[in-house]
Amino acid sequence: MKDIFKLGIILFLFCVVSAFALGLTNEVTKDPIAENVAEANRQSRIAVFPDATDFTLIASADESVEGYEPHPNAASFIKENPIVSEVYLALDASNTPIGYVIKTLPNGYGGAVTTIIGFTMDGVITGVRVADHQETPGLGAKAKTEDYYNQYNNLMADGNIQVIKEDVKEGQNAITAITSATITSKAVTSGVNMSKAVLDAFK
Amino acid sequence: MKMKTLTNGIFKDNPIFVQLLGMCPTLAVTTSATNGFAMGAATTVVLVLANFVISLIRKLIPNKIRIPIFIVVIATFVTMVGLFLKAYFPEIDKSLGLFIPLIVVNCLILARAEAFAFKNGPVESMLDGVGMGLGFTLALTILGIVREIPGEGSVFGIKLFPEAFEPAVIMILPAGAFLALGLLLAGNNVLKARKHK
Amino acid sequence: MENASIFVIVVSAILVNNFVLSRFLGICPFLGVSKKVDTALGMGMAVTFVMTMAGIMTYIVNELILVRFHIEYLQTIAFILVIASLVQFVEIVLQKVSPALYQALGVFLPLITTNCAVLGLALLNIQFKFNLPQVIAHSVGAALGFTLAIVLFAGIREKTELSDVPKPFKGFPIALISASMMAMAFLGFTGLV
Repeated sequence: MKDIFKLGIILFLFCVVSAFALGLTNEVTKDPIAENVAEANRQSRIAVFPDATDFTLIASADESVEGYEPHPNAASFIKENPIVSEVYLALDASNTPIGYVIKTLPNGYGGAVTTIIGFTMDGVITGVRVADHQETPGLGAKAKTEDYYNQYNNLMADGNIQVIKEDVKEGQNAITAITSATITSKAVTSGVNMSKAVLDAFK
Repeated sequence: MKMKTLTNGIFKDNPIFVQLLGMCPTLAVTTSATNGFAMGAATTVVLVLANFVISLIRKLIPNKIRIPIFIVVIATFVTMVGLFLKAYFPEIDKSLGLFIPLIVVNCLILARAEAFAFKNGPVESMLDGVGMGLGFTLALTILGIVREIPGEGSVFGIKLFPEAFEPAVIMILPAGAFLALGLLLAGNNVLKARKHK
Repeated sequence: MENASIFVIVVSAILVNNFVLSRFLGICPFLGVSKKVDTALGMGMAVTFVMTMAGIMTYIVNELILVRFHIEYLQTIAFILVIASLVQFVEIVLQKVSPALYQALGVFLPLITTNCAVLGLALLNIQFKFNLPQVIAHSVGAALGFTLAIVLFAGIREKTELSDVPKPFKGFPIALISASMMAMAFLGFTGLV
């Protein structure tokens, strides 16, 4: 028994030293890591709204996020629209609000498809990007291509963008679904269609 | 300085082609030459550090619990390397993903700790680590190149073929990984047989 | 993935995202223990038990300790220690309860600790933000998928042992090429759920 006890103590001591070393490493790398994450997020917002120079958070589904001023309608909006996780106000160089960028989590084939959408105050889609997803490589994963994203550019943020199987006609507020990946296409589009609700709640 | 300790791991006892250790990351991250190289480099860093520390404190490690202690030491360095990559090389962190923490169960590192670092001096153990690490990195990079060229039409991200080239996507998928390694091992066997003639 | 149903999680783990043939986890025992079907089956069952228990325990450790105290960076080391202790515990119990099985598994039992499938599963459970029922479903599904893969593979290898294989391909090369075909076959399951 005494033997096991002694061995246990030695193992525990090793763990303590290791935890200490890791705690130190964590302290050193904490800030660069946070910066990287923030920068990557910022880049994705710029990608969907190239004309904006800055973004202000006005609503977030993540309760642990602090240091921002939520819009008065933020809390009720987030509650009624659980697939929207973030709403940012997009500002131009003179700090005038010119639109919004939202992050949504609609359900696709293998789970949530993180979709980021930018749209102007007048309700025109400026860009769409897909971030994390568990869709099928070669099928649903094709949602992450330039060709697919470009389909949404300049469509109307009227909450009613259709997903059709044929080619889109001139002036039609619709996109063509990815072959054999209708579910993924519909998921991304449902995220894009949240733009109308955001305009109604926050404009 | 024993040069043999260093060169052993590169060809004669190559971890992947000869010892067949560390298979999981080998097949998973070699979707491109750059990924293969990055993984090899990260593993080498952990291997060298772990070998060094384990050898340094080998007199303090009770034999009965040596494996758990090896694991604690290795896991500590893996976490450090992981945090370091996340902070200063986020693109590499993203491409290697899940397989960075999985370096801790790379049987290569545990095998070297047990077979070498526990029984030899710190400088020699470091050399062994460097040698094995280089061999591992070499194998991963070769496998990465072999898969990237048909699979994406590029090598280290540099496009080789004109736009019309339709890549054989299968090579980047798991099936292609098994195939590529199987063919490389068979090729290695042919080379070995020729050498002995 | 946190909104997927239990059924989708299980089917996905066994067929669509098979841990061995799709996610590349558990390759070492896949290549090492698969020479005979009964050894493979025994290994599969031991791994199923360890993976399910490890999935649950690492989830609990993460929720109750790591997240609560904001020490998520200790995840790797905490999880591997949980797994190593679990395997040690299984070894001791197995020795007492079924010495025959303990003997049959031999050195492969402690090697489950370094089976990337177990640690990989624990990390994926956290990455997918599963709750406890989902964790259990995923762990069991993943383990069953692993068992399916190695038993099928053992069956194939038993047959290739008896075939006339060209010399350079004997042993591992032909095994890897067979695994490649299995992986291709399993690709057919994409789009199932």
